[in-house]
Amino acid sequence: MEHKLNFEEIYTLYYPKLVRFSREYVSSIEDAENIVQDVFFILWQQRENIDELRNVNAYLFRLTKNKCIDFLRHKIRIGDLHCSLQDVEEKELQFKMYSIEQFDEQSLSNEDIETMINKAIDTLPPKCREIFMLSRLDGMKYQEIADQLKLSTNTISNQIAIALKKLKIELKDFLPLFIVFFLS
Amino acid sequence: MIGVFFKLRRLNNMKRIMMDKRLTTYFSGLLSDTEKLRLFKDLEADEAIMVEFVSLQNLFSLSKMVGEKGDGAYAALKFSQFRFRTKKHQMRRMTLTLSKYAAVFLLLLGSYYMIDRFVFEKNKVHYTLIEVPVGQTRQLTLADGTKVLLGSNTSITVPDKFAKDQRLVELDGEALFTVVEDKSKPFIVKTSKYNIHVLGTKFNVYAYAKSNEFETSLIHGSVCIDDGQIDSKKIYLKPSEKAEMLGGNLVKAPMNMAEVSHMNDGVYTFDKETVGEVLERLERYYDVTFQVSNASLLASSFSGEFKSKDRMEDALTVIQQSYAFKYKRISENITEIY
Repeated sequence: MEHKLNFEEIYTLYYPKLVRFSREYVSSIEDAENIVQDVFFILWQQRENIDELRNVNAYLFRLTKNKCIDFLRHKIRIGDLHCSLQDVEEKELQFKMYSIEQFDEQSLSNEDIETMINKAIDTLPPKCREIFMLSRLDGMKYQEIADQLKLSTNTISNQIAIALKKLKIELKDFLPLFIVFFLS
Repeated sequence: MIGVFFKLRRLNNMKRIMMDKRLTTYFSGLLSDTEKLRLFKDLEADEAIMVEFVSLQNLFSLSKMVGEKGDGAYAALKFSQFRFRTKKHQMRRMTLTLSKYAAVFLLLLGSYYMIDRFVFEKNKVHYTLIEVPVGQTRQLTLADGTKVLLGSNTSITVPDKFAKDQRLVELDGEALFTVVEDKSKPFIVKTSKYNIHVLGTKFNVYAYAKSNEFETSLIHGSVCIDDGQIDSKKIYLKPSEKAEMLGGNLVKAPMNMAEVSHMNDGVYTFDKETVGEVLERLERYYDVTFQVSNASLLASSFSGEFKSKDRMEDALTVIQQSYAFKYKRISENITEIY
């Protein structure tokens, strides 16, 4: 585990994950890809100092988070200027921006983020885990999962709720306990 | 009282569960725009639901960090695009660095040119053209101390300051050089026909551009004559030798001091030379052209003297004492002899 990753290895390990992460906030895959390429470009410019970065995990997360916030802020401002955003779209962007602002990358240890999440998911009961994976990771609709597993949609949504409750506890370090300030 | 509390708590729990359901539906992307708008209004009104929303949003985002099938290939494709970008960046940086150096270089070059051109303009060599009118002579001392006695109807181009490696003058006419010795800077007399290379020496040059004749007579020292071509034949003269044109070639011959004495005493002495040769000298001296119809006259031998102060008519009279001929001035520069 003490093996130091070189730049390409870091890129290969983090790029797809950070793109999926960013996409949750900026909504478009292209925008997410551009943001993460920019993040790695910054890392590349510091490539001589990569070994000195004690926590590449937290560093990449911080860069990605800040880039996403910049992107969303810009998009909201442009939308305001041109009145091109519907009320619901603008609100959604604001909540997305607010959510990622609350994301606490400082709590990330140098441990691989994937290992951490897998550990959390592994604590779920098997059925619950299966349903959660299908819904979140494969992006299936409740109805589709219900059809595949021959269960009712009600069971599916209950199981998802249980999974979320447990994961929230497992991953509580990155999630807000309370809101520091409120949106105007 | 207690009942009311429990009822409230149950109601709160109910609300929570209801809210959880709405939120999970939202994150599954199944909420309509109007439902979304109502949810957002509730978020703004209730801090607890807001916390829930943010937790779920970030939880879902985190859950996306789990590796997926095809991540490797996806990352490889994107990495190649990324490499392209970094290479372009490096190229641009390199170009920028190079153009910086180029700019500095051009600036220095420009400054050097400007300084050279305007500040050290006095370093530039200026040439002076000295023309001696017909029938006169001029004594000239060059920058290195070399003395030049210029003959009639002669022009010389001299620099106000000699180059580092040579002392070059251009001559059209006749001149007697007394060159100051400087082994590091050969003295060169450039004429329309031959170049004469000198170290320290005294010699006479007869080389009018208009004339076919060329003659260099060495009084002392040594000179070398070539025609300015890279592989030209060189002729070296010893004192009391002269080099002259004979049938288009430059040949060596013994030198008679009387032939160059006119430069010092103004007396031209001819000893058994053809009238043709004498007339040729007079043409150069007076800057005229003789049209001679009497061919036998040209081949006849003539000995005699002229003074440099003589007019052209006086000179022709001296020849008429040996040979009978008449002459008529057709124009200022052309005289017919018959």
